Amino acid sequence: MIPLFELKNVSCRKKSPASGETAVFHSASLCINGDGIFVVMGPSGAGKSTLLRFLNRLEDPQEGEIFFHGKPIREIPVTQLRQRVGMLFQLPALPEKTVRDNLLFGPHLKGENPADSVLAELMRHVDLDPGLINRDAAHLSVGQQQRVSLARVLANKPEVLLLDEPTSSLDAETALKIEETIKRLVKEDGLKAVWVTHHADQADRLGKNRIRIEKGRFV
Amino acid sequence: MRDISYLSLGLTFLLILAFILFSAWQRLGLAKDTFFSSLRGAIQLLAVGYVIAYVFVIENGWILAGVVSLMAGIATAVSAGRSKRVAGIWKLIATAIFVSVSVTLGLLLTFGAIEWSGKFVIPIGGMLVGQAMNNSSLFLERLLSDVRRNGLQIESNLALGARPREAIRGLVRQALIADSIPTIDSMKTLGLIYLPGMMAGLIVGGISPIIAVKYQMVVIFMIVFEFGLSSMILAFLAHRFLFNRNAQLKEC
Ligand SMILES: Nc1ncnc2c1ncn2[C@@H]1O[C@H](COP(=O)(O)OP(=O)(O)O)[C@@H](O)[C@H]1O
Ligand SMILES: [Mg+2]
Repeated sequence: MIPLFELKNVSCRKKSPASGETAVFHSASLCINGDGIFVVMGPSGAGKSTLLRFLNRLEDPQEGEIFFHGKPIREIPVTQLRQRVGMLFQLPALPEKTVRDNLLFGPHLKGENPADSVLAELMRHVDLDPGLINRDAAHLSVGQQQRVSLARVLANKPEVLLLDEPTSSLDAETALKIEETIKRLVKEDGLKAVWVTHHADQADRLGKNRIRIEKGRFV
Repeated sequence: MRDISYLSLGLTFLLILAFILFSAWQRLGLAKDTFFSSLRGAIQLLAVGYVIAYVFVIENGWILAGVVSLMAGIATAVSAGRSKRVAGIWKLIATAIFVSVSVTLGLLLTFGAIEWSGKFVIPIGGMLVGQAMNNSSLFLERLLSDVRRNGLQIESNLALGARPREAIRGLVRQALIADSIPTIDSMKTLGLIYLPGMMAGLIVGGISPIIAVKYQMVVIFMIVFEFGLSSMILAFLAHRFLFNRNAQLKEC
């Protein structure tokens, strides 16, 4: 079976003025099969965010090859890849626009213009009160903003969702709600997810399909 | 016309020293830059004072074009020096300055507002180059600092499949609006607070105030037009320098 993602001998070095050059990945290989939630763990600075950024090409490794459904991702037009492989970041970073305009950003790029009723349905899907649709997204609580960010990605109807410690800035209760939402989407809508976390208990709740990044390799 | 003694001139230069002392006292880090910039400015002005008599009588079109291009080249270098971290940004600045200056000059000549001779083309060209340079510096300074602060927002947009232009559209708009405030405000107060340099100069030099006012209007209209044109060029092309060919945000 062709895996969802495959990394072959990926190496990546990063330069920073503070610590000079660090090798984030060193000839690392990995297969991500596409069933359910794939959990990525590892200590802070291990390269978890970097891995996700490779998968939708916010950055490229210096060496090695990455495949999506068996196809080298460099051969897929980058905007197309990113529409299929959505990403939810650690922190919400929404522009000062209404929730509606934020949700419409992705669809508008594809020339779609979903009605308010569709957006309201989407908002309910991520446990967000549809009454907030006219509010300025940048002025909601962090938990609500993170939900808007999630709805914004889902409005794009991605096939895969990359989640970079999406609950680390949220309280435990809100974090659990987001977990439940994603698990439901995976189960009911066939969404595939790659979830980065450094909480062992969260990893346990998400499933058994997991990997750790340690010293530039996947273990 | 009454001359200014070197003593009076020297005394007014001391006014700059007051700002330098203030800057040193408040540790703004501007003292050295202010001192050398003012010195450099003074020397340049003196040098220009000696050659301007020759420049103003130039009638040869090629030489005039060469002088304006030289000014535009210097302006590009000065403005690009502010954003060294963005590779190739000088190309954007050069495009904005050269295109906006030549189109505006061309229109003024076509409308018969000025003549193709040194005493018009050099001072008017200089004003246009200066305005385009200020505009580039202000716009890019604002845009680059917004891009640095909002990297996550830009990447969230990219991650949805936005092209670079779409990913920074909001920030470009904000930079344009912020950038236009001084130009619009200076029009509002025109004649009330601020007597523009050229008009004041013509009147002090003995030209009828009404003729001076007409020239000043031409200058204001052309500056607003040029501002719009250079801003448009900057806004349309800026993204090309901030992202690589794979729609990835570069460090800036
Ligand atoms: N823009 C950057 N410039 C230089 N080094 C970076 C940059 N981003 C991340 N790094 C370094 O790369 C390594 C991996 O970072 P990251 O993928 O963010 O780790 P994690 O998400 O696992 O905490 C870290 O050592 C970090 O310091
Ligand atoms: Mg991280």
